[in-house]
Amino acid sequence: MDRERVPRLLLAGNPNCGKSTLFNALTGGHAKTGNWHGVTVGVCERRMRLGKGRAVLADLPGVYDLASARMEETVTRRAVEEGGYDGAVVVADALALPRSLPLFYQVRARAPRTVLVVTMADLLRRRGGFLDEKKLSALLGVPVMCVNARSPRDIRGLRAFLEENVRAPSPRALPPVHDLAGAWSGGRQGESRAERFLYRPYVALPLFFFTLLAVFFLAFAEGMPGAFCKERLQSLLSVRWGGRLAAWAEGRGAAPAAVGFISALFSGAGMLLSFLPQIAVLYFALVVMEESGYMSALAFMADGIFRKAGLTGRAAFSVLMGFGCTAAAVLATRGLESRRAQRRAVLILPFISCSAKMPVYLALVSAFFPHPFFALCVIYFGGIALAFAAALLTKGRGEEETVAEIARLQLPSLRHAFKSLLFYCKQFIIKVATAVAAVLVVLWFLLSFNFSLRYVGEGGGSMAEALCRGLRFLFVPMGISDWRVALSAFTGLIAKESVAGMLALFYGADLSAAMDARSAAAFTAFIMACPPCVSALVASARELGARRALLYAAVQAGAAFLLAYAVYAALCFGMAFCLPAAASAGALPIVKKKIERKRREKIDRRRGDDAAGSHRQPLRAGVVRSAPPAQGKGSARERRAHGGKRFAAAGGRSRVFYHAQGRGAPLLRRRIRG
Amino acid sequence: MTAVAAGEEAAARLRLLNVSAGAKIRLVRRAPFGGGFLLEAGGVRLSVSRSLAGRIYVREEKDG
Repeated sequence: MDRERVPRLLLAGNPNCGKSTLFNALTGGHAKTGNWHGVTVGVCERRMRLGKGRAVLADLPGVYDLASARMEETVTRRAVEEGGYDGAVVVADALALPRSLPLFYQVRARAPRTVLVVTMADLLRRRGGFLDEKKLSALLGVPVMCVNARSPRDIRGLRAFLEENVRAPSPRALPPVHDLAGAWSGGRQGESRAERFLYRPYVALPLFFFTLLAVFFLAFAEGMPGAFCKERLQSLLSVRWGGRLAAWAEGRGAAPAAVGFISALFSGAGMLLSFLPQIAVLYFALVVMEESGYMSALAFMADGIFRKAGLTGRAAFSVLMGFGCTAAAVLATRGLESRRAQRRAVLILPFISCSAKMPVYLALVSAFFPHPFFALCVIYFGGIALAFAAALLTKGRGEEETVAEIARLQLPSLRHAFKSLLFYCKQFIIKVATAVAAVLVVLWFLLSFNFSLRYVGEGGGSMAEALCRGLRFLFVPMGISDWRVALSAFTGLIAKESVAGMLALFYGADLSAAMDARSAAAFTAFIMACPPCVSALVASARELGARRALLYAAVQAGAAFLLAYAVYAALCFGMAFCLPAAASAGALPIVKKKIERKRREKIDRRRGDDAAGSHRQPLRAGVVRSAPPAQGKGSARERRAHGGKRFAAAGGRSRVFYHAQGRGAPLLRRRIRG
Repeated sequence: MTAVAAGEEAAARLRLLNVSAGAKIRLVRRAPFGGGFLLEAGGVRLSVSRSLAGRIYVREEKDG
């Protein structure tokens, strides 16, 4: 072989086996990899390092069978048959190795030197299967190597492997085998004892409930690691650093606005970052549960209950997280099956009372009601009922047809969990905390400056106060006319705990100056249903896009006010109010059906072809992502980016063609009868 | 298993999880409260919603 000529290698394999990921890893490029069929069309060639020199690697389109007449197959077949290369690398997915065999044999028949590279071996192990490289190599008659495309160490090994084999003499071809017994197994058959035990309804659900309680306890209870770290961090940032810096600035004669800003900034940062230990505890528990397959079990068992509300089992986990922290729960909705399911889950999550609402409830309840525990139970279950009702109300037409792999129960890898945790914390700080900090600055500005932009600080007369003097009219139907209550509720945007703080600031422990018992009940209902704090809003904006998140917040605010009015009216007027209210509530489903009929004429957009590759995503809560990142925010942007995609209506009754230039408006509408 | 009468996307997903015409699948358990089914096919465990499960046509085989 001519030493000066750069060796050329072909990379072939089934669609979606991680071939392009491997290609990028070997060549250091960023060619587009995707989850749908036909992403790599045409041959992409790039140089790669091979030993001391270089080689050219050609990424062929993924095909199952060279004999078929489709475009990708033809391109690949031509590339393989034309020659002009030194070796062929067939990439196979360990999870479905037998499916890759036909292509492998076809390539080997035409190519002088063929090697087999197997990816996703770690996923195979998770499924209970195994792969023996040496035995497989002996069976197939070619060198075989297992590679994890995301591990740099494996890629280095792969380079060495390729270098060694590209110049080696080609081995004699063995007759094709179809039975890989001894070398490969697709997965353990049957259930283990632990699985048989866990997958009983009377075991799984109570066990999960207690596990969650334990996790919340670890995160939020006094004296436990979560709360402890929170206190320390907050006092460090807000009091020590913020206080000292503010005092120094004041000593230097800085304007009171600047001093106020500094102390507000640090106390805000302290509050935000003090969230982090508790969220980290929650997240870590979730990752461990997911990696061990526990979460799969829960989603499967709870699926039945959640389907009655129009959600699926995967949502169970987000809903339960919502009892701890709405923001974290919203972030966890990533794993839901479809964008539509995710939207509905994010819509109903704020109705579930997060732990930050507890101080507010306690303040209101202990001031007015003789049996706080009972009242709290009513509040929490009310929230659940409200969430359920909201889910039912927004329930779509068809049932989500889900099929997903269920992970095996196994010991999780703690190292992987920690790595994932670090990554998540970093993401949280970068994405969520910065946005929240920006909003907090704006809110501080509104709270400290009056309309002539002069600093008033705590003094009064700020813009927020003027705003709330106006807003208090919204609270009048609840029997509350004091603007200071409106201001407290407004600060609930920052953090729900601050509502309690502000109320205490204005009135102390005795709230009867602000409201009577019935108004307190109405106000509690309001807090129960009102939009979540800014962290959760930012999380919603990240998941659904800013416009939709704000829309949902507005809807929740409206619902909260209406609910509060209804509670107050019910308490004041008794049956005279309840009967007509119940009647109109009964009319609601009828109205909804009418709206549904109108909607049926519109187009229901589905996500693009996400079938391929989904077999590698086991039923998980969405906390850990191994797949490539999600598509862009909002379907409008999606459409512009992937111009010319086809979207089928639900039920397949009409096909609408979108074009990027058409800004998403349908160009053609063709109705397919039948 | 004899056939799947579901939409293209669902059928493709099922095929990737070893559930296609001619494949051997086993019903492992039913989810409570009217949920889906846990199937096993070729070493892969998958959950299938009730509506989708209704569209998978199987022929029963007695194994020894």
